[in-house]
This record gives sequence, C-alpha cells and structure tokens, in this order.
Amino acid sequence: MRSKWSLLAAALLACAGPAVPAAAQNAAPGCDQRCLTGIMETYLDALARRAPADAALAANVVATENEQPVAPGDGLWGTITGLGSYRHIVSDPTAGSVAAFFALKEQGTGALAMVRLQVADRRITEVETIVVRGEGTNRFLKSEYGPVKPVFERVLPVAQRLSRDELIRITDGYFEAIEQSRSAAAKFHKDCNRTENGIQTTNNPAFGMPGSNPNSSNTPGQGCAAQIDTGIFGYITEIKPRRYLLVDESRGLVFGVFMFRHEGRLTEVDVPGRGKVKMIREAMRPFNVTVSELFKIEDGQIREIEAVMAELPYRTRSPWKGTLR
Amino acid sequence: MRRKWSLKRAGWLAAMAASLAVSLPAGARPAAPGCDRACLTGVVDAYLQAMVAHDPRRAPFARGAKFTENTSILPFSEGLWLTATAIDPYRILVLDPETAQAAYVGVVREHGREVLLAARIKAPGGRIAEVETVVARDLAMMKNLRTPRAPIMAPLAPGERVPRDRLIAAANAYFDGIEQSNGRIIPFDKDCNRLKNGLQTTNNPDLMAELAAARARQTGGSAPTPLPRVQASAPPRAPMPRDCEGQIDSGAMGFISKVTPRRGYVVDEVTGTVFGLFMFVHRGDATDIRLKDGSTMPSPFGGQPWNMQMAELFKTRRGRIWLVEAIGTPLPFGARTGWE
Repeated sequence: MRSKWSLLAAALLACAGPAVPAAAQNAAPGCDQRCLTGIMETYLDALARRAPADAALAANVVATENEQPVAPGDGLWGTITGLGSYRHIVSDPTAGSVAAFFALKEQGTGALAMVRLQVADRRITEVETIVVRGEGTNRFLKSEYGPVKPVFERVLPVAQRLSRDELIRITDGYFEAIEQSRSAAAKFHKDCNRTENGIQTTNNPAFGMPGSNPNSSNTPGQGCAAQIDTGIFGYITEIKPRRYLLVDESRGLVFGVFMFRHEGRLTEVDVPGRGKVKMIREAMRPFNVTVSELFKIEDGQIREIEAVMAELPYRTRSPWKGTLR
Repeated sequence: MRRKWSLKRAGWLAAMAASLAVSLPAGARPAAPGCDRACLTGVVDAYLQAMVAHDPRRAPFARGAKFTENTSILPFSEGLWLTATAIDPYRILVLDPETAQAAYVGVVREHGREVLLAARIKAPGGRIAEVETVVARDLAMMKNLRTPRAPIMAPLAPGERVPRDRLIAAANAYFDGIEQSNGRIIPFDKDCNRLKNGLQTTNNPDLMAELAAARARQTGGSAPTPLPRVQASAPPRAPMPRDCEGQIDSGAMGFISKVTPRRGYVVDEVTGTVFGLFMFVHRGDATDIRLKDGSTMPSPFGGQPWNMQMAELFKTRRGRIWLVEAIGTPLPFGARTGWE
C-alpha cells in the first residue's frame, strides 16, 4: 500500500515539475489570508491529532518531509505528540500558499517545523514540511522562541509597498551577498536581524554559532551585513535552487525554500583585519542544508529574517520545482 | 583549475542498462566483459589513488560512469573526490569477477580526519561504470579500524565454500531476521561478531558506553538525536543477549521497521564474503520496544522517523555468517538509494 503510494507521489512530483508557476494559477480564488490561515490551523490541529483525514487534503496531494516524498500519515504524522506554543503563519492568496513556522513535540521532545501548503478550491494539493529535531541535544535549536517579532506583522502604508517582483529581487540579493561574501550585493536595513531555528544569530554575542569558528566567536555578535563581509560564509558553495513561494505585499514579506550546498573544500578563511581563521570541522565536509526563510522588506531593505532549516546529505535534490520568480 | 566531470546524462543511461541486466535471471545474464581478481584489485587501487589525487584521469573510467556518495549523484570532483587527503591501511576487498564488481571497505582521511568508505565498483572490461559509496563520518571508535579481522580476506578451504546464491540468501535471511526479530532463521556461525562503523556491537560488555561516546561525537547531519533517558515501563529481567542471534531474537532491533531495498550484491565465493547495500527504515512511531520476554526497552531515537543507508559485508564459512562489517550513514526518512 504505502510503497505504491510513494511511487505515485514520485510520479506526481515528476509531473508537477514543469507546471505553471503558482503566481499564474491564481490557485485559491475566494480564499483570502484569513481563509488560508484557517486551512493551516486546521492542518496543524489534524497533524497534532495524527488525523490526516481531517486536514482538507486533496485526493492527489503531494507531500515531502525534509525534501523526501512521504505519504500523508507517514513521517511526522506518526511521531508528533503535540504542538508547542510558537506559531508564525504567513499567507499569499494570489499564489494560493500559506506557510507556518511552529513548535511541536515528538514523544515529549521539542522540535521545530515549517509547513507550506498549496491550496486550490480550499483543498490542500501540496504539503512541504521541514522538521528540525532533538531539542536539548541539538544546540542549534530552540523551538519556543516567541512571540512572533512584531516587525513581521506590521502592515506598510500603501505608498511604501513594493511590487511582488521587486520584493523578490531585494530578497535574492541576500543570497547573492552570501555566495559572494560581499554584503554590498544586498540591501540591509541597519536594524537587520536573523533568527535561525529559534536562535538569533546576529547581534547575539552570547551564542557561538555552528558554522562559525571558535576563533571568530564574535561573529554572531555582528550584524547581518558585517557577518557576511568577514568571509566566514565562504564554506557555502552555492544556494540553489532558490524557490520563492509566497509574497505579502501589504507587509513586505517574502517566503521561500532555499537549498544551501557546502562542498567542504575550505579549511580556513582569511578574515579581513584578523587574518587566517580555521574552519570548524562541521564545515569541512560535504553537506546540504534546506532553509525555509521569511524576509521582511522595509524601505527597500532587508529588515528582518526568520528561518527554519535542516541538514541533509550533500547534493540532496529537492523534488519541488515551482517558484514565483 | 579543477575540471568539471559532469557525466550525468550518460550515467543515467548506464544505470538503466545496468538495472535491466540485473533483473535478468542469473543464467540468462550475458557475460560481462571480463575483469578477473587481479584486474578488479587494480581497478580499486587506481580508483582510490585517483580519488586522493583529485584527478579522475588517473583511473580507468568508462564513458558516462555514475557515482553516488550517500545516495546523492555527484560528479567525480565532489564528495570524497574533493575532500580526501589520504588512504589509510585498513582495507577489505570483495572480488566478484562474475559480475565484474569489486567492493571496498576502508579508512580514508578527509582533511586529515578518518572516515569509513564503503564502495561498490562495477568495471566491465576493467572500465569503471558504476561507483556507489557510503561514507561514515564522525567515527567514534578507531581501535577496531586499524587492521581488519584476520580471516575476512583469507580464502576459504574448498570444503567451506558455497555457491553465490547461498551467500546472497544468507544476507537476505539476516535482514529477514532483523525485520521479524527472529534470530533463528539466520544461518549464524557460532563465532559471529559484528562491527558497525568501527563499534563492536556484539559480545561487547562496553557497548553501551561506546555507543554513548559515538553519539556524543555526531555533528549534526541527518542523524537522529538521542532522546532524554526514558525509563522503560517494564525493564528486562535478565541481561540482554550479546551474541548475533540472541540480540536479534530478543526483539531489541524492533525499532527497525524494515530493510528495503536490499541490493548491489558483490559476491566473492573464494573468500566466502557477500557485500550489499541495504536501506534501513525507522518509522519512529513507538517509544518503547516490547521484547520477547515481555519486558520493554526505550526505542533508540524513538519518536523520530529516519532512514539509514547501510553497506554490509558478511564473511561466512560453510554458508554461515561469521564476521559482519557494517558501514552506515543516517538519511532523512523516505530517502532513496540513488539507483532506482
């Protein structure tokens, strides 16, 4: 039964690839932000009760967990024991998409997840899940990090709103800046901060960030732009694909899922003003990280970043193809 | 400048052709262009030397050769081809001229640190067409990975050898036994022992301490994380069996949901070894495992779904499993092998 479904899912995913970009589908006519948020809340409630039948899934739904096709009811559906209190939902009626970062428990242990739903005729046609596990033993995870930062919820005056394309273009500068170790490739707001897996990894000197270096332990103490200019992100080889999946013009939000590839070549980086700094061993091996990431754009600049991300085998290919860009 | 070796499209064709060949019954299989034991040994040596030199031109590749590391399809310029810095002496070979395949298990250095590499190399006519590797990083226990156990590569006396089908059947029975928590259906030699990523996981009184040390060394990855100590609701009354058969028979491997697919067999009738690739699936949907004696134990990593790609090598005598060498890397739940 189950393996047949997996094959079907794989076939559907293969077909779903070249489909029309979500923006062109106007996939959820009559389902506004409130409607999409309701569908997400119903989904999360069903997930917590391990009751996929209650989740408004379309008959042909395609689902992944950490970039692997899974049958509904499989994976997290079999291990979740409850929801936590942190929950941050964003939605895009034009694309018919809604996404949530949320805390949960698996057998009583904290975990953090992202779920993105694609909605058509009020039924869920796509479920993309990323789960980060092992609170308590995984130092780089704090599942309860609420409340949601108010800056994300702030509605922009109409005159300050940017087009969908412009918002995505500004967001894309962030990934260019990381790939090039050059913050000038992006536009950063002076108050920019980034929270990853529940931990603020900018302007937070108390946190020694995995992927940074004991000798450069002040890196998490630096801001969004300054960190990039140290070159310590040089171990990130490529960020591809960059799937832009959801835009909220009224709040200046862009959400997507981005595949970070680390080939494991670098053994040290030359930090301007500090000289050669050895890479930590976690960075000196091949690995990928799938990153679901939300950007707040204000005054044409990146103002705030929130991400939920999970490590994956090197060169994991995402089965998803769609992007708004 | 590093040359790009992107042979992907041709690789897919080669893989499809290979899977067609494998699906034919053994008798009907067209004979692969020959590569005898010396030829296969030379192929493995050339592959490792080319890898550590980061130069695929030093190994005899067929056009469109396919390479996977930990189930991902890579060019011969990434993975260990980029990061390997030395080849250590620990090495086991399984030579299978009938299918023109060799399997290698050995210790390799990545930026100076030891990793375990298991590789299945298919080289019809001495040209490498397929390379399927499992790399285990974050090794905790190196003491067992300095010298392979002496008998592993020694030829069996003619009276102790069995045909290849029986060797494959023994490996299959092993995984059937794990799935069914039934050690009695597995043909074990009385001296059976297993090494898993260098850890001796049978007949080892220090196993729990060594496992804890191994987990502490894990650096992220797709590895499941150990849960806080859970008190078993009905702790075992008697000490857990430590032998190959008893361990499986006790039910202690009940956290493994299934082992599928089982594939990539490389068989050496001379040494009595069989190597293959086996996908372990852990649904993680139970916190407690019920043992056959009625007691329970906390499921290792219970509550988290995950897969593990294992490469396993079974040394047999008289068709019975004697020495097991397992190399595994954790993968996300639902992960495929890269060779579908």
